[in-house]
Amino acid sequence: MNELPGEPPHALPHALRRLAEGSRELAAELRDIALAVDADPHDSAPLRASSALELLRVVGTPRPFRAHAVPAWAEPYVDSRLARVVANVELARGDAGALNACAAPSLAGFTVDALGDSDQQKAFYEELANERPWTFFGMTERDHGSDATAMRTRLDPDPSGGFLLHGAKRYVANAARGTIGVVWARTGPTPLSLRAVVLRRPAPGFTGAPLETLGLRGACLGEMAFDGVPVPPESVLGRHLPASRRGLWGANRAFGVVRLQIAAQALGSAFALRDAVRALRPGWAGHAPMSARLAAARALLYDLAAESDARPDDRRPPSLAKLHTAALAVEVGRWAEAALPPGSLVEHPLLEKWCRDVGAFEFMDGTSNILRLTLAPETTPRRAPHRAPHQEGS
Amino acid sequence: MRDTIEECERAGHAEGLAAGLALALDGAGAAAAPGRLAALPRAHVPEGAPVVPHALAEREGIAFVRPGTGGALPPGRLTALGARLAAARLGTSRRLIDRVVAHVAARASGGEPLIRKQLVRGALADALVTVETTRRTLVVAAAVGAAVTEAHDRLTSLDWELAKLLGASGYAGEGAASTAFVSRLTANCWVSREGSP
Ligand SMILES: Cc1cc2nc3c(=O)[nH]c(=O)nc-3n(C[C@H](O)[C@H](O)[C@H](O)COP(=O)(O)OP(=O)(O)OC[C@H]3O[C@@H](n4cnc5c(N)ncnc54)[C@H](O)[C@@H]3O)c2cc1C
Repeated sequence: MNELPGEPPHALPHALRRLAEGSRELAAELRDIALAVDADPHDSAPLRASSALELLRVVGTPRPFRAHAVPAWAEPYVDSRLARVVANVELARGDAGALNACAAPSLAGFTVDALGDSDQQKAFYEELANERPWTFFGMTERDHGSDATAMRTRLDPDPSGGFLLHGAKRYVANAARGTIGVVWARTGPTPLSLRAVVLRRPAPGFTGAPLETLGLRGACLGEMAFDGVPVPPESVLGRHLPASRRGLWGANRAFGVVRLQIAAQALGSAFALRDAVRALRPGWAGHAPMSARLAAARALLYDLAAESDARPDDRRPPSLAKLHTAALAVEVGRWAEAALPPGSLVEHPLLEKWCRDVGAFEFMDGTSNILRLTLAPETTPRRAPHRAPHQEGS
Repeated sequence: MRDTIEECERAGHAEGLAAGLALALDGAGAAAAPGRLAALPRAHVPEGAPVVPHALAEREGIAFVRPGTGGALPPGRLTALGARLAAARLGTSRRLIDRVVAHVAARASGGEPLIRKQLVRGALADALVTVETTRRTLVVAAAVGAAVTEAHDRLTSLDWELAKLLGASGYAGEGAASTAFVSRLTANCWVSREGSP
């Protein structure tokens, strides 16, 4: 492997190479707070003090809603899936836990972009610019994860106007500290009756609590409960869209972006583990086969992101990407363990932490089994399988 | 050896990792560890011994201790200890299987219990095969260092394949993934590998 540790990846356009380099500089700052975030993810002081996280918050905000300009190298971030992937690999190579502690629009933002009308988008992003809040995206429930369309949380008409939200969500990032976000609920029995609402905190009947998590603790997983939370009509997303695109199907495209981002973070974490082994074993050539696999995974991920840019409704490229990199990251953790002397995991806290962190990618935005079901051909293909348009759950 | 291996597996299964580790160590202390840290049952840590704090391990009743001076066990005895520890870990993996089966039997997706999904059934069947093959390996090859190391690696992988079936419920809270991770860290302290520096 002739790649030098600091060298930007090949075969990328100049603008994306610069994005990779800039991201790599921010990654060093994420690395600096990695262990502190892991030790006490709810301590907001190091997060608020991090200029890298502040920049990433604005970089991840759609251009019209940014509170201030971003450096020229960061501009392409919002332009394509490939750009997001390029940046996320490098950022997570610094530390994925700290990256997930960023108070960015994230999935809530993607949902508002996809399903919100212009007033809803403006209100959401103005609040983000003014308050710099952590955001939440409440889909999963205690009894319904992969099977999210069976969710029980209800959005009922309020006799005095608007709606009332009843139910609970679990394993949601920023569930306890987020002050604005999106929650999914059902208005009727069919999957078409799933709707997203923008929720703010504090609100009557809205409570939340954090959950301990093995890794990626910066995401601050938690649970939320809704006991008749009032939801004004203007907080219900998708009002202006046809019935078929108001709900989950309307947000499908956004989920593809997130899946690719998570795939990129898994791969970045795998690189971080490999880098750590190289640093602890200077001059050791035995990393070459694993380094080659990581380089191949990155080439694959870039190709899949580019395919996904071309066909944003096809769920298979992002699924293939995450299925591979989430498993690879776990494998690289074990490889690192085997490449180092006994006791090395506890001896090197970042290694130990990354071995915990990499497990998280399995569960975020589709478990490996769900991705397998998305990816496997269902019939004899008429065209090359990766060319056929396909939607998960169809 | 067979009796000891069975006993360690039984302790790991019935009483958990710390109890299994206590049996596996068979009186060996921190000084016996091959690396710079030893994993010991919390209750066996000598007073004043330098402990590296680790919240997850503490919850499992395990402590990581700096060995100080003293000789590591000779390779043959270290391999035998590794085999006993693998048996104890096998017991804790079987605990995890029990928990996973209960979980996927009680949980539905698309109106069907997860335990009936073919991918889930396949994973559970593979887990049972790994349990049986690993147990036999520890009986017939307890003196073969590389075989014992491989058994540990298979157990680490088995635990993760099982933890995945618990979904986020195993990864969050005081979940099963955390117990499995401490089991892995414990093995990492006691298993030495050919070729590692
Ligand atoms: C770090 C982290 C961050 C997260 N962030 C969020 C968030 O911000 N918002 C949010 O809403 N959720 C979030 N989640 C939850 C995540 O979306 C769920 O964990 C995921 O959807 C899986 O659901 P589950 O955990 O209930 O597992 P289940 O769906 O119960 O799955 C359990 C096991 O069964 C398998 N399985 C399920 N269905 C099938 C099937 N049909 N065929 C074969 N096998 C199947 C799964 O692969 C898994 O192995 C987060 C989780 C983690 C770990």
